[in-house]
Amino acid sequence: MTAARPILAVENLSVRFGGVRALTDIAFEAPAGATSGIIGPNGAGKTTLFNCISGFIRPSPGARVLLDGRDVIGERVDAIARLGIARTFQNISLSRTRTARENILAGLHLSLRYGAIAAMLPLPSVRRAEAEADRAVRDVAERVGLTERVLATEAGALSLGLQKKVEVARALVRKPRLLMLDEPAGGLNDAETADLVDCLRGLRAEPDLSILLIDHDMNLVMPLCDHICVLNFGERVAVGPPAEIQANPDVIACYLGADA
Amino acid sequence: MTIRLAGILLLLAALVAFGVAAGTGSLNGYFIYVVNLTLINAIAAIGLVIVSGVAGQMSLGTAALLAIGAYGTGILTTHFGVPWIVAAIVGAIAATIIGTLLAAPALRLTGLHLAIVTLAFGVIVVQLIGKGGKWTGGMSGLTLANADVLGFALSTEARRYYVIAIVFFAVALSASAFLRRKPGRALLTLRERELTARALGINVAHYKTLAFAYSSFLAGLAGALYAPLKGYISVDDFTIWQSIYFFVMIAVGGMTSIAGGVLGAIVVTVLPEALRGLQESANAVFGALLMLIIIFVPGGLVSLAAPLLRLLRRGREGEAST
Repeated sequence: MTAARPILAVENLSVRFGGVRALTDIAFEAPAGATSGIIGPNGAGKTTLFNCISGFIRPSPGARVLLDGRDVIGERVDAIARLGIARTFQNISLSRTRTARENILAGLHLSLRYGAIAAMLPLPSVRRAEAEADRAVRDVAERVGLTERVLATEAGALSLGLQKKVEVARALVRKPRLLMLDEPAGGLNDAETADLVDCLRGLRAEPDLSILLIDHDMNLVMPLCDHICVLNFGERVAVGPPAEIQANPDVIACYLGADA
Repeated sequence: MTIRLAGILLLLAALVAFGVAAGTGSLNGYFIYVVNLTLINAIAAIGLVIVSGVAGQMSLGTAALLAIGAYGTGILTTHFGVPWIVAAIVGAIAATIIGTLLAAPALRLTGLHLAIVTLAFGVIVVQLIGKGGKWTGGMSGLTLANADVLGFALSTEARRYYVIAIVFFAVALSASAFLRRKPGRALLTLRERELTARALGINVAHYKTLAFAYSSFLAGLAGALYAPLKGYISVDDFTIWQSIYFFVMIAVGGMTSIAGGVLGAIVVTVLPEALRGLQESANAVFGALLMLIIIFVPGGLVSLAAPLLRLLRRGREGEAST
């Protein structure tokens, strides 16, 4: 275990939708600089947990979501994003009619500091900022493996695998401290999945970036993650390194659907 | 040279060429008047492109905001002897402040409900102006004092054209920079994917308010130019029909681009004038033409240029790679 403060710590987190307990007393930590995974069968509450962390859903009182030690419960979604969390969505959330480049540029919203009036004027400082933004898009495209031709293509005309990569690039371009990926490989074929895993493996090596990813596919998550939390029916089943998780009889049971 | 720069130079050349022609006195004054009206409508249409087309906030209050700009200017110049340029700025700012209040319902309502609120706003403003007594001239309207810009009297159509064209050019340029850069991207993202916009750190309430403020300012500015153009303004100039015409402009021209708003303003302003010869059937022909455009060019007239632009862009890339 590292002594450093975790980039993300969730404590005592419960969510109810009417009478349904979507999540019950979840606690886990994502170590800084590492790649952590949340796995579990469909309906286990993974995305709900993501939505609590990014501020879309407010959990029941008593919960704490600490981003680098700071409790973000009750903060607006955009304020939480400002603290250095970037995320993707399970369903593609790109603008289909705009190019990949324009989609990724939208991810730099927080990095561009000029105001609305300045945007209307031919100011050198604004031009410089936009030129830097263009460079940042090219850099991130290189990191995730998007070609110039892909950048110039309308997002709706790209394959699903490339669209997922554009989404990752859009989240990554403003250099977040925590990158949250919701089912990055969902709906991809084997070749596309392998390509995406390669891309994520590259990001994993970056020391300043912590990654938290959700997937129900153990084969994807196991080789990528240093640290895993398993959910089932809204409850935490297990937490630990991949090797331990794989051997855990409770985890095997919830995946095979057997009586534990 | 980029395609954008070429477009700007082309627009500038057209505006200057018309200005030179108007200056020689060889053009019919009515013809210049129609061009002036077109440019004023284009300024308001650009504002509507921003709030409704790009930000997706359905607004039917445009004419009322124009009225605030026009009456603000008219009252200050006529009753208080304030110079036109100062009155115009005050009128546009008044429209901005009142129009920004419309963002408050927009943060809770969408689509048709928001349209109804903005429509009601338009009705109320016109009613209030009609009851304004001697200040607004009530239902009989307001005749304006002669306007001038720093001693340059706006006494002829050509002279008015110079001022209107300069304001229009500045608006077109600044609005297209606004849309191409961070605020435009934020507005497009929040219209298409509001949750994603939030996750990207875009303060949705802030940007919706900004869209209303900016578009109200442009409507108020258009009104401030409209007052001296007409010399006489009345509530009949700013009915809800006029608001609907502004919406038709951006639907016909193209909802999400400056060029779309301008094209739409040209069609909706010039076409009825051109069809005048048809007398009673003019309105029917105008309506039929609008219908044909909406049906066969749903992306607006500006979308017809898309294949041409793609060709130009490809040509440039080809040049760059050789």
